[in-house]
Amino acid sequence: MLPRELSVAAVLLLCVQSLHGSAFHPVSSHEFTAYRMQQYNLVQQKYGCRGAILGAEARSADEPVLTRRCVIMKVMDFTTEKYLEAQRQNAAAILILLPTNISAVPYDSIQSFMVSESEVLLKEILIPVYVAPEDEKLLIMYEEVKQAAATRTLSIFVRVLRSMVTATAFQMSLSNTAAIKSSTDTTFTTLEGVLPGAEEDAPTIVITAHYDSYGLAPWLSYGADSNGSGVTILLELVRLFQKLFSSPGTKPPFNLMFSLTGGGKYNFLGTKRWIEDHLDHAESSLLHDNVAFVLCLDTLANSDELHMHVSRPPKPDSPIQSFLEQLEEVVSSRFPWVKVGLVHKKINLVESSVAWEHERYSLRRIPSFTLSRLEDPKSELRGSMLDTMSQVDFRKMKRNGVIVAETLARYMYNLSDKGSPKDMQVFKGQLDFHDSRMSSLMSSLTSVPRATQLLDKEPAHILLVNSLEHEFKRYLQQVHRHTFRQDKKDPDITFFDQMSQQIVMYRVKPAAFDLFLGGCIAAYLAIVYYTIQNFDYLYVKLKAAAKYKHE
Amino acid sequence: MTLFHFGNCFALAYFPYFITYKCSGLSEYNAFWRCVQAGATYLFVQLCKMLFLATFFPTWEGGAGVYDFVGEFMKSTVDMADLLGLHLVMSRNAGKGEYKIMVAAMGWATAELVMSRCLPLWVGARGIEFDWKYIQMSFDSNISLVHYIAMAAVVWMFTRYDLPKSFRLPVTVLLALCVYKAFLMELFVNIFLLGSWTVLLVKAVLTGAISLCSLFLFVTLVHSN
Repeated sequence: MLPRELSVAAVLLLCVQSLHGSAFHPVSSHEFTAYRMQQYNLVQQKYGCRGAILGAEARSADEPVLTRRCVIMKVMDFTTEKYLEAQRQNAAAILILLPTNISAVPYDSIQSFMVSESEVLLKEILIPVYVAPEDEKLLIMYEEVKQAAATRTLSIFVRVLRSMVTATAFQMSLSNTAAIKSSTDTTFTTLEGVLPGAEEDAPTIVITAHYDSYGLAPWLSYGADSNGSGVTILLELVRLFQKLFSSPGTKPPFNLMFSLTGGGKYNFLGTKRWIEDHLDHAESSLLHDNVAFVLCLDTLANSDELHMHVSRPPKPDSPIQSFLEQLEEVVSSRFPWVKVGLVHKKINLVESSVAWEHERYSLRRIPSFTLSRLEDPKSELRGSMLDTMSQVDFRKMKRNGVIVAETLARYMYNLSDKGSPKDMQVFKGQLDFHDSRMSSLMSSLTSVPRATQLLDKEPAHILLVNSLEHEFKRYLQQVHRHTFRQDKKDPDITFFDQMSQQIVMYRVKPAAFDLFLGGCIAAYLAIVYYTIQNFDYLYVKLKAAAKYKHE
Repeated sequence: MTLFHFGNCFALAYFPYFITYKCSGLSEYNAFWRCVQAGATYLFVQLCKMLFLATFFPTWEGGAGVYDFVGEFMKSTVDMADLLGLHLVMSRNAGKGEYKIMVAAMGWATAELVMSRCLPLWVGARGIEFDWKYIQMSFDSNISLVHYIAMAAVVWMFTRYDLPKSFRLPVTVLLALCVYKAFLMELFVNIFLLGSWTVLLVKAVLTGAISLCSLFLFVTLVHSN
């Protein structure tokens, strides 16, 4: 009899417990995804952060002591000085909160963050650096941590009381404690396609843009301006020139070759390998001889400036000089407010980094230049997490595209010599740039972070490259996809894993708080005891009142 | 947080029960097993309620954030079963009114405490993170002890044959208040969007008012004739 009753009781107990099961979720802990800062080795040089393990209390960057704490910064207050201070004091980690809506951030903050971002990326750091998109709970944590830093100046009594009673600390911890592993199996994918010209051995014009992106955290680098804009303009040029090449009447005496290169943010490794493939390994290639010029598109989605970067000044009567003249003509006749300039920068063989994509071609004696809105190749705009679609000015990007297209058309059809008016528009009506296509291209390019280390690993990224290839196949001939593997023994570039991590944030109280709370509870219980002991007194009073009323 | 924090919460939740048991003289009556029986009745009644709810009130899956007024009201109505259960416990015990009420309420409240708060405290209060939730939960258990004592007293009065006519109405009103207290609280929270500490305070005040009223009625009833 007894066992049966016990089992019934056990079942009842389980049922009642399950009724209250919903009370178990602790609301005071919060799990979020944080993305680790870049880490790679390029040409024997180490970049980015070497650490990943995190288990420390959150502190505001304003506090004087940061040792073994996780320093929390917002984009607004991130500076190189604070970053270096945290590094110098041997902080446990740095966590940067990235706003989800970047267009709401003031322009100055964006600029200064981008500058700091590019500065810190030049060096190596041993402590882990994470970037997390802001959410409600992280912002609450940030505010509380900042408040704690602000009360530092109060009197000692207030501070002690505070540290015992009201202070809350936030413990950040990472469940994954595996060591960081390096990987050298990253591949670079370069896509190419051709529009064959009217004649058999016509000169070739190569139009190229790199499509990968770069920023503090690879998982948050969407690279809209650099170089989503170049890719967008290139794909729009592909569509428009395909129309011109498809009818015999308008087929120019030039071959047009398009290429989208990977690894552009790492010394244009994809471009380098692609040129090697064509010049050293292929039997016959359009790059072998008779290349008029290579036009590299890089960062074109803003500003009223266009810079033509060359490695050596163009000789008179060379195709590049002629292109430059056409460019100036198009701009002065149709967009007089746009500033066009020629920037000449010699290739520095001592320096290990390659500034612009055309330098890869110039090194192989192929005439080439880069068109960009930027003057300085080391500009912070060429690799930032804040370079998102909201920063793109579509009107200016379209205008830059029109300028490139018109100039190319004028050059290929030799319109100036034929006496066409200077402000003649080739690309209008049927041949106009499609705003909708440009914006949809841009949004699909910025739908995933196109960092090199992710492009051949994540399904969504592979899909993006496939869709670029598909776009090429739709308009171009001889579309090839080159996938370059690295030499296992002597890789050009080594990447590291654990770029995306789950971090758990706990709200914790100091140990003194427990004692304080214990004291309060003891006092409360004493009051309860006293009240129950003296309940009789109340009872008697009530009894007397009832009697009185009754009588 | 730590085991210490769990200890704090545990003390806050359980000591008032212990003090009440000791000081109310129940321990002198050897009422322990009677309280355990009351607890078992609690379990049985909860199981019946759950079965009933699961059968007739399947989870309402309306739009998020929309308060299902009628559904919640009906669910609270099922809490009438608690009154029946308390009556059942009291009718099986012989003795003075105070004694019957205290045994039923103590057993009932303790069973609820053990069933619904013990495990969350053990799991939650020892965790690495800190939350006021567990302290609030412990306070809430103190409030529910008072609530069940008042409720048992009202049920006892309601079931008396010699209840004067003039008492009928206030006792019924108190009975309804006891049953729909949880519902009223939820309604308050939904209308005024109260914070967790305010909810606790409102609950304490409401329960205190109900219990004072029922105490007054009880005293009047017992000592007036």
